[in-house]
Amino acid sequence: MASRRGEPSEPYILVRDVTYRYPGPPGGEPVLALDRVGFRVYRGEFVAVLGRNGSGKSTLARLLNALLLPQEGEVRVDGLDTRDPANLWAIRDRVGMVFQNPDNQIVAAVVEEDVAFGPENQGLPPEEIRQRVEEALAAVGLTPLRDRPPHLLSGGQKQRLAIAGALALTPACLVLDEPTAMLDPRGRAEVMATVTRLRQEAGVAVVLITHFMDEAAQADRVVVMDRGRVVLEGSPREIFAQADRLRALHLDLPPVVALAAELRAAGVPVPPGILTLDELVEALCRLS
Amino acid sequence: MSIELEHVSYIYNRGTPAEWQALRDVSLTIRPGEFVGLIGATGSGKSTLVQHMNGLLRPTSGRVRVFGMDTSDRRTDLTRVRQRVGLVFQYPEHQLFAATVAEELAYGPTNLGLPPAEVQRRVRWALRAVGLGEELLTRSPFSLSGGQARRVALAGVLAMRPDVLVLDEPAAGLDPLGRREILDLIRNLHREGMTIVLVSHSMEDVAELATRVVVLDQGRVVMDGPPRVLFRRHRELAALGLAAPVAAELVDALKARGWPVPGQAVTIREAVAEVTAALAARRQAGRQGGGPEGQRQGCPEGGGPEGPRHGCQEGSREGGRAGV
Repeated sequence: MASRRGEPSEPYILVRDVTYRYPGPPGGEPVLALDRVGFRVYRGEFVAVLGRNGSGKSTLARLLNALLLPQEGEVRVDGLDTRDPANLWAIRDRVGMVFQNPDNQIVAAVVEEDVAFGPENQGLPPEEIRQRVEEALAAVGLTPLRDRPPHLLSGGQKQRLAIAGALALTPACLVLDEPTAMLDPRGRAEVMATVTRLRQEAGVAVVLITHFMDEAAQADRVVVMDRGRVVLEGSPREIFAQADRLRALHLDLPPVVALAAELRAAGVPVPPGILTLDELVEALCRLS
Repeated sequence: MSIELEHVSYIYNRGTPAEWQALRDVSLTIRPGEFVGLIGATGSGKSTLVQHMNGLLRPTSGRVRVFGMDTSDRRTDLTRVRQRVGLVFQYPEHQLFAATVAEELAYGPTNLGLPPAEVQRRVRWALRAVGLGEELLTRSPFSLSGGQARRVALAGVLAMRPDVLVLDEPAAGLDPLGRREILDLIRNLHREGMTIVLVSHSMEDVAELATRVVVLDQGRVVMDGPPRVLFRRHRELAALGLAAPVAAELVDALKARGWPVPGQAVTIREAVAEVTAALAARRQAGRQGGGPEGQRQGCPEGGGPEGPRHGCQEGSREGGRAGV
């Protein structure tokens, strides 16, 4: 396996033909959550995963750091097979997870202790732990609240704390399962800015599972799931140009894209592929 | 008046090192039939405020009256307060507990001491109101999909037949379809006369639904008014960690670039109307004034190489007059 590691052309995470079923109700059929799914994440890449509730997104996320193991097919992280128990901790060091509900992920009585929990368990020297805690708190904008007890944080602040806890383990890939579901616009913007900074400065790959289409619009690549399969894949421009297909998949357009589409429907010749407000303003200004 | 808050302050963990003031001198009246959108950054006090609206929290100082009942008065029967004001928490499906959907929905009305026949009527009404079928009544709430479970939780509150429904981020975590369904449902309840207080981080949703927007910041009410007026105050909203709906941002950006738009839109439909009207006016002007005029009204910075700046500003002044 070592020979496959680190080659830039290889995906950092490779999911190949994975099928996963959850046990069904007593006496019933198992529930097919993933149906021969293929998925890959390259180093430093930002992939957004969209899909309605129950489409298999969260199951896929849990396969990426061996929280779940494929029943058929394989998942490799940096060349490491997730089914080999000997690889478990090497994989968890490489792929960090942040879930939707931060209350289940917060363990300590003080914010900075919570962030230190992971590095402490790794047996890192105190100076290294302190530095990682500093950086992780700064990355999510919680430095001023470092002495607060987590249960007094608002929902959005708790989400950022959970992200800081994952960042303190300096993973090569961060998997975020609807991390901004409860954040206010500024909190969401901060998280998305954090994601961008992590990629640019630390080269951290990000897999973002989200119901916010405007967040997906910032990704390098968008993967759309439905009924346990990957049904669409491409750049945000390619994906959000398919309004009808997205609607059929119970998804939406980002607000700016929806606005551009409504303008087009009203006869305003706005070109396709617009993702941001600035692009829309420029396009309208070019009409004469 | 449905709910009246007078000079309400609330302090968590008073007298401990973790003491924290969540509400500061909040005075607010919710009138019958209103649809109030309550917005504010995380930690601004929204959740604390809504828990005062049905007596779950009582003010540290100040007074809350719900249909005249003072929630701090020991003689007030809080069951009656909660019957009039239904509160739907964030992620309400986490609080489902009964063995079947029928038992879940019957819990509230039964606790009100209603006769079984009335309880059953309400259970069926509430289930219909949230758009679910009676075949679900015998199911375990834990076997439902996320969107279904959310609606069952909402139906549990509706079965109390409250006059006011207070919802704390009811669409959070739902997929886009589930989100549309729950917001349509809330819109319908309002149309049928229910007073609604909606806590939301989605300015788009608030702009579409609310008749009045209240903005909280650090435990204080800092803005209160109709969405059309309030969402124009971009810079103030941004300073509070909030954003205007994208429709409002678009028309403001166009106006700043010299477009003859009134700049009043807060919904997508209104923005489309402003843009199409401006383009039609420009075509009209272009026909009357000839080619150069049309070009002059194009946009400056993003326009063609010669794109004369003063031409656009002229357009803006004209537009300003036309729009007011």
